[in-house]
Amino acid sequence: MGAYAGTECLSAISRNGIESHCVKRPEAVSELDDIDALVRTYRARILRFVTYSTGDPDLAETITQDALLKAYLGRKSFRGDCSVKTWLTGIALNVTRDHLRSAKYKFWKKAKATAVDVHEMASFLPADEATPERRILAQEKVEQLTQTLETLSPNQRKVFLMRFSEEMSVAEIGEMLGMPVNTVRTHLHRALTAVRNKLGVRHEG
Amino acid sequence: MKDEATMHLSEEALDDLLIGDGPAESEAHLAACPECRAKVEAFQSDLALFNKATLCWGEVQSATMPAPQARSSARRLPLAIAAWGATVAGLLMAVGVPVWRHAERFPASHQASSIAPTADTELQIAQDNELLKAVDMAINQEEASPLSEPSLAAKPHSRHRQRQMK
Repeated sequence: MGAYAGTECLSAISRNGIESHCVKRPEAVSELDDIDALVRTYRARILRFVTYSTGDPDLAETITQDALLKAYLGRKSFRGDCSVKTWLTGIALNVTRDHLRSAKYKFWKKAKATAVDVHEMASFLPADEATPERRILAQEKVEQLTQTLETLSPNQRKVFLMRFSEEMSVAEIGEMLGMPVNTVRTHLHRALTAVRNKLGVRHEG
Repeated sequence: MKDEATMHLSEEALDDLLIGDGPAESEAHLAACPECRAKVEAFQSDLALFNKATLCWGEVQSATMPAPQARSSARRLPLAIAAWGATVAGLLMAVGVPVWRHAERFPASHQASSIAPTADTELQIAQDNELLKAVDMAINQEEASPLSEPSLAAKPHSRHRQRQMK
């Protein structure tokens, strides 16, 4: 339910990166001209998305840096008819796809298995819970959700994150992943069923 | 859409609502039913915790990451040019200094005189011919072969001589 529901810009993100042509560049996207601001505002979000998409925090750092750099260098192609966040997510997806396809990655993946540290993630919960008990419960929930995400298929995990963490619409997700909207819905339903079951907020039958 | 037994929204209908695909009918039920709303809010609450924790993790990780290369390379451009300049200068010095020293030690006039052929004079030609003749004589002089030594040829081995006589 992003504020920018338009999907026109998504077609501007080619499978290999970013589209070279552009129609016009609104003033609102001047933040793209400042790479420091770009990093400050979006790097944490992109890093989170890529970390969960790949399941590899080390690789995610490389991809995040590459994606931000690619976005900065190709900032003139941003047409401004979707949010910068959505545009960056699309670029991060393409860079991730390139990395996962590379022979070098496949080789290292065999040699080294890094994974998201569930406990580490949960420990980053801001200390705004009223009591220590509530805080422990909250951490448990985060751990449960993280663990469940790891059991999902890559596509299910990706669409779940895009919908519920990046707040993208089903149409945007479909456009960005090159996937029919109904397929996105199917993945979302399966992911949601798994997550809600694990969290105990879904009751079958 | 609704569970017939409980008259509440089915789990599938709740999933649809969470995904954002719920029909207006489900939306209306949700607005009026605290039980169904509690289910939706329970998930949204857990999701909010997850998003908060993971974004916080991302911010901490991001803070330890270096700046992307574009910025640093742009700032390092003058340095890179200077480094290239220094390398080229070093190469020129490495090649140029020995050449210059050599040129200084052996001036061009000296080098030219040592390389330039001397003019052929009658005397020089005569001397060369004499030298060549002497070389020819030395080469043509037959050296005595061990086999052609007179003592060996005149006195063959006695046993060999006997065999020849038979």
